[in-house]
Amino acid sequence: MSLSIFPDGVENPANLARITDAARLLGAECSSSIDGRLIAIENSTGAAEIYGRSPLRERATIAVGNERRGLSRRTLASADETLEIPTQSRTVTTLNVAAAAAVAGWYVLRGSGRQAQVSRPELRRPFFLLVGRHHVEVGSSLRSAAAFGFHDVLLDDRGAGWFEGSAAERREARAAARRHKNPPHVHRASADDLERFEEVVVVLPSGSADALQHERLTRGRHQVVVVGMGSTDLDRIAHARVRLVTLDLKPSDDPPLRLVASIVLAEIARQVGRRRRVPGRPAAPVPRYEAAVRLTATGDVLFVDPSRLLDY
Amino acid sequence: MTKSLRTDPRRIRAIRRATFPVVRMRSPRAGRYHPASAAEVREALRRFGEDSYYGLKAVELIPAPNVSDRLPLGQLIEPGRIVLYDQPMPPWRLGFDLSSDERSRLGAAGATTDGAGTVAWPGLTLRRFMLAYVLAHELGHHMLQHERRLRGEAAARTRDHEARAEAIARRLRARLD
Repeated sequence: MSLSIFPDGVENPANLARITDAARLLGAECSSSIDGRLIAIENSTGAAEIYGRSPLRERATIAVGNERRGLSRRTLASADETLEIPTQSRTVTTLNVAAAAAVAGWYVLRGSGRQAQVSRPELRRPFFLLVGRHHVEVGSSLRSAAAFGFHDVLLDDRGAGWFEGSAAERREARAAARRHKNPPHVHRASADDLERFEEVVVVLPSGSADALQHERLTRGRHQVVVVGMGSTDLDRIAHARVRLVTLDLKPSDDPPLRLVASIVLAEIARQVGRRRRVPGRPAAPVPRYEAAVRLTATGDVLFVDPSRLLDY
Repeated sequence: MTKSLRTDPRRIRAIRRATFPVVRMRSPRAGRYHPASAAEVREALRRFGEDSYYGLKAVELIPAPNVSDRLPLGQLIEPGRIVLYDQPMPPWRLGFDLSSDERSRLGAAGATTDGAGTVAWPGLTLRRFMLAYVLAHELGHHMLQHERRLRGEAAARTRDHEARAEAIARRLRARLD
């Protein structure tokens, strides 16, 4: 079993570098060729969800596409299967390409259960605390949070400049977060705020701890999931309510926050689930806007189309 | 990354991304016709510009549904499909008078109406009405919906939607003249 990541026409060198990081963290390789089964990652019609798959048992390549255009038609046509990462936002419907590669690679390698379907998913959604040190990584993680349906995100800004950085930093961070259409509220927070929660789940990129997918992340407002926290903070907050879980990625000195955060957010979204359709309730009608000449005497006069009259 | 390609104004994004929609025509019913042909619709879309048809998938000229309370002219069916209905050969003999609002709307497009419910379309005015008023108005609805990126929901209350679509249609009409 081996996995490759094939960036198909990715333009931004920074994204390419993060895709290489994602491959390294997953124990895969970043390749310019296709090796084994080709799995296209694209939100296209007929694509299957990334959730609910069995673990990878053969050689495979996952292909991620250009930032704007997505995968090329040629790659899509030659794919053995097409998978999509389900998003829950009306406005932010895509992830950063490197984040998408990390999420896709993580789920393809490990497999997972299906996404839950519940009546009120919002009651199950935990708080999410992001500890960030780089503005673009924080922005890109906030984009993922919006895409996975978060309305509030706690941010421990440790030099990322989201709140008080230079104008250039804030502009870049907000562009990465797609802030113009990204509705979640970003609240200033710190490790001290963790005292307010009954259960604190600290996610480590690697190391020995329980696996993230085995941890229940659906305890709603009583639970907070923390990403990006260093070992020094762990010593400060270590107490009975803190649970450590790991993504089981390959060890790395400084794994990019957007990759780690996006995987965690995807797993929260899978466990929290989406709203179950109420049986018998019809889908909302598609909006239609008609231009017509209104006839005033409809009650008194029957309008007959000439063709119907001719038929008669 | 100081500026995202997704944050550009619609006009600039449209030039980069828009693909020309499919324009197809189905035969009209007996006694009716399509005042504007598929080629004329394509030409009108080109003159309206990329920002008008960005996100639009198809414009279809099809037979009108059989309804007795109105004369259907066109419709936007989300997402990205506009239909223009075939029309009776002019003059339209409705048998009763139209409301003053309808009379003034048709009159602005070049139609002449009388008190007996006859609507005459001299020359090519009906073709222009279908392109510059009906198609442009539906494109206005499309631009509002597409810019909000909503799936299956209205971007505004119907009354506001109609008013904003008509404001966009006025701008598009100016490009056609």
